[in-house]
Amino acid sequence: MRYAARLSALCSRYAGGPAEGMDLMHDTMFKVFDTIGKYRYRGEGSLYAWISRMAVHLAIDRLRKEKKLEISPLDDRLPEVKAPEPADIDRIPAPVLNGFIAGLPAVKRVIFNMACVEDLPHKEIAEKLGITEGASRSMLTKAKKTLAGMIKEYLDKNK
Amino acid sequence: MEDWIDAIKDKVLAEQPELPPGDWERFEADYLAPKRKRRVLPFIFAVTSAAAAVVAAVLLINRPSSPDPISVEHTYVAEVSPVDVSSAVEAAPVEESVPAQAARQVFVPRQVPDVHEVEEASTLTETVDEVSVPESEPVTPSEEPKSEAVPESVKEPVQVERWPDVFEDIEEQTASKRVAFAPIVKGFQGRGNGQLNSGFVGTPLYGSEPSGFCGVHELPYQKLPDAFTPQHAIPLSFGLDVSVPLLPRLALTSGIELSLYRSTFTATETTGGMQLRQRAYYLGIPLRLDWTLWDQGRFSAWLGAGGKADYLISGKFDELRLKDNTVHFSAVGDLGVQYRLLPNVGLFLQPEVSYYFKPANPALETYRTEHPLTFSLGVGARFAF
Repeated sequence: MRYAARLSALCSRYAGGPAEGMDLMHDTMFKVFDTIGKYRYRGEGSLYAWISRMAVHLAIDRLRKEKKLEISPLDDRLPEVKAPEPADIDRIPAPVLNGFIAGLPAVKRVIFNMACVEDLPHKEIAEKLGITEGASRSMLTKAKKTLAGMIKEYLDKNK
Repeated sequence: MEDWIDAIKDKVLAEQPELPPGDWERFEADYLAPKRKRRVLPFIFAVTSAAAAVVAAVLLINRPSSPDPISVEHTYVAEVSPVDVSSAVEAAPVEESVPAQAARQVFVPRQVPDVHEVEEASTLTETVDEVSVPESEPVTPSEEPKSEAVPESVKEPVQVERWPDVFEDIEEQTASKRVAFAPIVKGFQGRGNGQLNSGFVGTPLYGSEPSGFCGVHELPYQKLPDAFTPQHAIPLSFGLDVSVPLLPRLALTSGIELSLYRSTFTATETTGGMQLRQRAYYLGIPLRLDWTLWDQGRFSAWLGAGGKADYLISGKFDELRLKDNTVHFSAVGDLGVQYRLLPNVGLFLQPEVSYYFKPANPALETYRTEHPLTFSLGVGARFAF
């Protein structure tokens, strides 16, 4: 229960929405309870790190099974959008930002979460997703562009 | 990293959304609930039991009230052989070297002769003289003239005149009054105006609302582009039929049939041209009445009509397991032609037409949802006993 809210937010970001996130969270908790014997305490926060790593792996496995991790060449023609300012981000409620991230296409969403929210290096991301580091960097750039476009649209509507 | 990305990170990590009320309790209940078992085996057990019960019931109903030709023949053996053979051995001056067993075999057919033996037996003459002693038995050279001396009293009990009647009955039994098992393989050809929803992959499988057959845990119900073009391969079926005679020309046929429906769904260029494959195995229980139209020599033909119920026992759409709890019904008509290779074994061809009653909302699309009216050709062997 202690980590439920954080885990729920993480699952929602990776799975692509609150409903899918709850589903992923349930699967994660099933897995956690089934394999809790394998967990080794390594200091404060290690339990959440273990659980969240399991959630990310489950999310990636799902997307791989559903062939959602394939990279589409059609994303190449994204319009150039000016990056928002940090002050602009402060004006946007957190649930809305979470919704923007969840609304990204699957590959971009996962790479953005791993690279920008969890600060994982591209080498590790590429290994986990089975893609090249170059592809990971490229998709992250596209994810940022898409996200910037969403933010701009929101800000334009809510001036 | 850009500042605006850092700002996003800080904001989303700081957010701790509240869980929906009762969610933890629901998870506890789900986790503690006994793992749900697959219901395929109980279903197979149920349908097999039902089919066995139908066959057993029909067999009981069809039990002959008067002795059938086979039992008549058995009675004939029991009554005639011991007395007459012994008296024949005593009365006739047959040499001591001829065993009584051999003499018994001269007069008494021990087993029900098959059709071919029947044809040969029908050429027997009225006397016992021309019935030969089996070669395996020791026969002395002096035996032949002695057998001519068998007195009339010995010959009379051997009712050779009855043999053709008995064999005719047996032949009839062979032709139409036997329970028969028939493994059958079928290939299909579809017809009809079934409408295929070309975008169905986006609705039943990946629809935004749970359709109830894929299960929440198997699919997240995310929308896939609905520009998929399905291609259905010709289905193949393998089955085992059991045919039970009700009347001399009417038989009730049931059994089990396993059908494989394969489909490929190809996405259009805009979605990368990826291909997803579907394989669905259905277990079917046919039930029909077969009327023997013609039965002459080794050939016979029949006309049948009835229905079939199918149930999905296993299915995969790409890597995803399919579920469909609906029982699918179809009407079936067939015309069969059989060539009897052996008295108990026949090869048959069975062209069949069937009409599939498509549900209003089929859980998954297969060849028959596109072609409700199908023609199939069954090939098989029939074993009668």
